[in-house]
Amino acid sequence: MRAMIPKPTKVLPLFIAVLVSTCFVARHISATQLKPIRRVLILNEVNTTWPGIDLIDQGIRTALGSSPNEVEIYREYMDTIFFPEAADQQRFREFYVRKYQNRRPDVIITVGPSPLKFMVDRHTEAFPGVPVVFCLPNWAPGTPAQGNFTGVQNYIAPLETLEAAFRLKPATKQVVVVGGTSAVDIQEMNIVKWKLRPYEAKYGISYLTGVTMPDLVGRLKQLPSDTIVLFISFSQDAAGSKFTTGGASAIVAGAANVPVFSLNDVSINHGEVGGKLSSMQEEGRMAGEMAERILNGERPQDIPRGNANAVTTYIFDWRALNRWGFEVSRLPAGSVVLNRQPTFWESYKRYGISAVSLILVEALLIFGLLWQRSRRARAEGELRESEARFRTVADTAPVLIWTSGADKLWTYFNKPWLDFTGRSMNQEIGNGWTEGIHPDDFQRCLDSYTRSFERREKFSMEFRLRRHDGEYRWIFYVGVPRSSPGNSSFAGCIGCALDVTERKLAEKALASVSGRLIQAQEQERKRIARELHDDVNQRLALLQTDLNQLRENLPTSRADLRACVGELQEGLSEASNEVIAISHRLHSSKLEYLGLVAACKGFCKEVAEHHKMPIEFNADSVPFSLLQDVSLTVFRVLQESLQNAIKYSGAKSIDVQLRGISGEIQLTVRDNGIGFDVDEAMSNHGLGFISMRERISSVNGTILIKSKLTVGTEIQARVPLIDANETSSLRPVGA
Amino acid sequence: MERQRILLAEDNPEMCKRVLTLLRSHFDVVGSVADGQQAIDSVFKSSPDILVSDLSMPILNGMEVALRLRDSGYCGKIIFLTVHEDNDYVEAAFSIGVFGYVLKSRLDTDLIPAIQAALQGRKFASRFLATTDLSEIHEARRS
Repeated sequence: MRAMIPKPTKVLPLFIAVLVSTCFVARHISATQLKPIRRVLILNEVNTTWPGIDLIDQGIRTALGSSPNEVEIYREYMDTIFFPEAADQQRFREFYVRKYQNRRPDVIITVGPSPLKFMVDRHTEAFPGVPVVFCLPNWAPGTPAQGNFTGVQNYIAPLETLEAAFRLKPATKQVVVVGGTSAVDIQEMNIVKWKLRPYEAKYGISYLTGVTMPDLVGRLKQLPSDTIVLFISFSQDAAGSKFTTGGASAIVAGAANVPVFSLNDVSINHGEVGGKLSSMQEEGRMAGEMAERILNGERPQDIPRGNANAVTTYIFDWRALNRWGFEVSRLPAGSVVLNRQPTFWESYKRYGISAVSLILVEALLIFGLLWQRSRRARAEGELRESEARFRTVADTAPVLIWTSGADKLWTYFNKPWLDFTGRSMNQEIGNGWTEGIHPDDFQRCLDSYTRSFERREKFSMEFRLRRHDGEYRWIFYVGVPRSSPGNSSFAGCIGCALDVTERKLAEKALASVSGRLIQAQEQERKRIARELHDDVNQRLALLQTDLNQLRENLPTSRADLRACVGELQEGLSEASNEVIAISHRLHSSKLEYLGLVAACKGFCKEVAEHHKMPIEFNADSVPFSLLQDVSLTVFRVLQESLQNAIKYSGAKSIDVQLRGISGEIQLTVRDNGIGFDVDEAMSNHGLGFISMRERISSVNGTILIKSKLTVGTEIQARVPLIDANETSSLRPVGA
Repeated sequence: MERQRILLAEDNPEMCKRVLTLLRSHFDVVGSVADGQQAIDSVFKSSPDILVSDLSMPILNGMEVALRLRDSGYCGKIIFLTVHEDNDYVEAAFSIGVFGYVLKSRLDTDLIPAIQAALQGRKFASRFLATTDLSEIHEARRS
């Protein structure tokens, strides 16, 4: 019984601790003057080797933690397991009485049956008037004699636990109740037996107590399979070996080949299945709350006693349930399952969800990629089709088409371009095609292209480009910036080019013609001015001189005077006729007043007389009324033709025919002169011819010039007839 | 004797004034107009016995006026007063029913006789100084 004898040497450190603690508290008081100090003495059944003491203490402290008072807690241990002897217990009692004689607690909390008995025995004389709150006793003290006592009575639920066990394992035939040999163990076993007695037969209950632990273990290993074990308090075995509650239950649960059920929350987590368990901590809390109320001024007798039944809960260990194949669904309602190992799904739910999410995301990504690929493929298909269409259009277009990339280099030339230059695509792309630019135009071209390219703006230019036959042709070259498909980023330029050589030559020719026309106009003005000045004015000057002479030397005879006046009249008439002739050369008044036939006939007659040239004029079926433009055009062609024939052909005679044939006017001027080279005349000296051609063209007519050297020339103009009445803007003429 | 009613179409104001002075001494001048269109309008309005018209006029020339009046059934006589000394004009004028062709240079001497000839149903043309042909016509028409 070595372990059961208290060692006096342990008292000294305790005193020192109390002393230090007291000093600390005393000093602390000065710092917290506002809070009244309240002392709480906790008298424990056993020391903290037993986990239940700690749990109860935690509960008490929790309850007192919110106290408005400065609570000083003193903890003492009766150590009834280690020191069960009555003499020892008596010495402890005396010690504690003396110890707190001059430091009176405001409330005493007893934990377990022995401390409560101590108080019941000695309260009146040792701690008179000090309220006592009991906790964890299986038997509460009588009320009448203990007016200062209140507290929580312990509650164990062996019957409820067995009922739950039978639900989990319906095939149970036997219940083995296992308990220790200490006073506490025996007390608890007695309570259980008292509670289970009515059901012993029904459940096949037997009690296994008073054995050594090894013996117990041996038996537990060979229990029939239809058995369950109910574990009660086990602080000491038959051999006197001490066990903490948790320690013993762990051994029992580990040894038993059947499920082990228990009655308090200390006996769980070691392999026990569980049961309706008393909660040590909750009991402590309940006691603590009562103590707090007392500290706050309430009387103990005014505080109803409590029962730990309220804090008894079905608690099961999931691992044990699982070990024995018990279904959680069969647990009583409201059961707490500890150590619940999540199911595969629960364990890996997060991973599962993550995996599923990942798969979903991947699936979405794959779908997205497939969709994107499909879209891209479609877009590429459309692009290819579009490009094919573009190339078809580009290759059949009557223009030269090109594209360049964002790097300024040319990337494509259509077939007409390649046909034009006579080079391959590979030769042309990049900067290859620029080799064909005329050296004089090269730098200007590249500068213009580069400048416009960098500014991303439309551009156009003209330059000479070498054709496949080596000839440099004038090219009109235009380009615009282009965007990439699907976005607006700059992708280079696209453009086309046209061979405008003919136009350039025409412009050149036109410029030349315009120049000559201006020159001709100036010559005509000069001629008119000369005629007016040299001829008309000379005549008028002569007439003025004659009149002056007549005034100075008037003839004496009337006959002479009449003759002089007659001469002056003739001179005046000639001057007038000369003005009319000049006017007529500028514009035929006959054409306006008398019509085309009369005008042409008159003109032929005039030319014939003037140049002594026989001109045969014939008119047939020419409409009376003609559009002014038509009649003027035909008349001008006649004028030009006759003047050319007179001037250049050296003809002996000229034949003019004017006919109205099937909706058109046909003028033919034929001479028997030396003829000429039509092409040369058209290109070099053909102002008259160009003028004729332009005039005829303006009225939708045609002109045919046939000339043969030494044989003569025939000019045939044909002008379609339009009813003058249909076009009111044109003035009809005719006579 | 009732005086013959005359309408004058002449766009030159000086010439118009001169001609009016001459006409008024012999005839009843119903009015004077300055272009071909007004001439036609006035003829329809006042039905003169004689229209003395210039050949060169705005809008419609003398030939066009003569043609339109002929085509509209006008019963009066038309006499051209012009500067154009050219047989082609005379022939063209007579061919469309004009009764007199008087040169402005011979206004004082030829216009009244031309009007009187026309009133009597005879044609008259001034003698052209520049051409022999004109005198032939002149003589022919007078005869």
